[in-house]
Amino acid sequence: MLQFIGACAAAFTACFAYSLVVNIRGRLLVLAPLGAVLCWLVYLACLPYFEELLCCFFATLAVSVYAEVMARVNRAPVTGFLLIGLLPLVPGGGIYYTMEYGINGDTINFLQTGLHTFGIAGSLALGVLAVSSIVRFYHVVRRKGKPGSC
Amino acid sequence: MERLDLLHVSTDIAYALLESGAEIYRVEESILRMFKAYGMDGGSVFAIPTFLLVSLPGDDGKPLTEMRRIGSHGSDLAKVGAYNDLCRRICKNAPAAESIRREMQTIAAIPHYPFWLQVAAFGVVGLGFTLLFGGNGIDAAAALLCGMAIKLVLHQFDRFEANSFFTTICVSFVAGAAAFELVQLGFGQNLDKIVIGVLMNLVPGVALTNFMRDIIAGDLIAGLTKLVEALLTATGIALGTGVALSLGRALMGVL
Repeated sequence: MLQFIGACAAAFTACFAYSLVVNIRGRLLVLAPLGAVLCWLVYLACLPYFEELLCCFFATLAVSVYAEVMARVNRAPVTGFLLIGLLPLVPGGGIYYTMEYGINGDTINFLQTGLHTFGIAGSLALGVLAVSSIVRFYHVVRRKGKPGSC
Repeated sequence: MERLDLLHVSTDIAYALLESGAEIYRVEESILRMFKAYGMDGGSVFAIPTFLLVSLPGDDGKPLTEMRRIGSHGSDLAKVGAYNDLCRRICKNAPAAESIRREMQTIAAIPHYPFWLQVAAFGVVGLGFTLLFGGNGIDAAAALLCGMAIKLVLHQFDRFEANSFFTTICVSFVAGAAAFELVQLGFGQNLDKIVIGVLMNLVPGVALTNFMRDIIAGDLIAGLTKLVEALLTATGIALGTGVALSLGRALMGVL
């Protein structure tokens, strides 16, 4: 439990700082990092039961839904919430370990880690794809009802 | 509003949106909706992260076209939000060109956070992610120092307008070398956790999350451009840290 709280605090701090880097202002400065906390919680909660790639996918789904909802509520672009929320899943570690195996000449592990890194990036993309396709679909259906709306 | 005015204003807004790192479909949709709000049909927009083309038929039937080349594009989400808001208001009220220009000036003046705060933020990103990925307290402190160092280096590269791939390689090299040095001096134990935490500052998060959204919106070229950008950045990170660590190991012995 304490571990969970520590991880949440670390994710929040890191993503809050990153929000400053990309110039997020106002209350989004709190709401966007909360997405990252949600992301990491879902990821940790899934980890004992599923493959790592699947965990990334589920966490991405959660963040994408959170981002779409928050964007509607706050009338702000989705990008900011997505960018900050997904940051803990972006495979920085994968890039590093791939490089590490590469310079050590360990070709098998190099390829394996490299492909795994691609896999994580792919599951992020797939999660974003699923949610934003559904949202676009919903908008088209709704717009058919009242044409000419802006 | 005159057609030529509308073309100029909408191109300026689209350019500003792209430069602040908005998604492609947002830019294109915003402009088309603006045209619609002023009751002008037949307009067309084409945008990719490096290029923008806006066209509108003139009163005499001759096409009016404006084209812009987009250089470096950062991420300034405060501006993306503000321009997005402006577009929404334009669609609702269809204001005159001067009032839009005035609003654009206020948005363009939205400041960045002060430099010292950005340096601190880079450090704290490193600190937070090092803790999140399982580093201990001393590792996190080392990551804080390295993060602040790479912001200082990044700032110098930005001043000389170096290209982004080269910048990424050099900055990753500095991050790797600084982390290696700190660990050699006994400040921090887990070199991998420190480097990964610090490099989260450079990781292509924006490109990676946006490219898929562009592709499903049908902007294939824009999506591919961003995918290539993400791959190049990732390669740059790997190259920079790789050189730093192998040099360090060759000079100082295995760690």
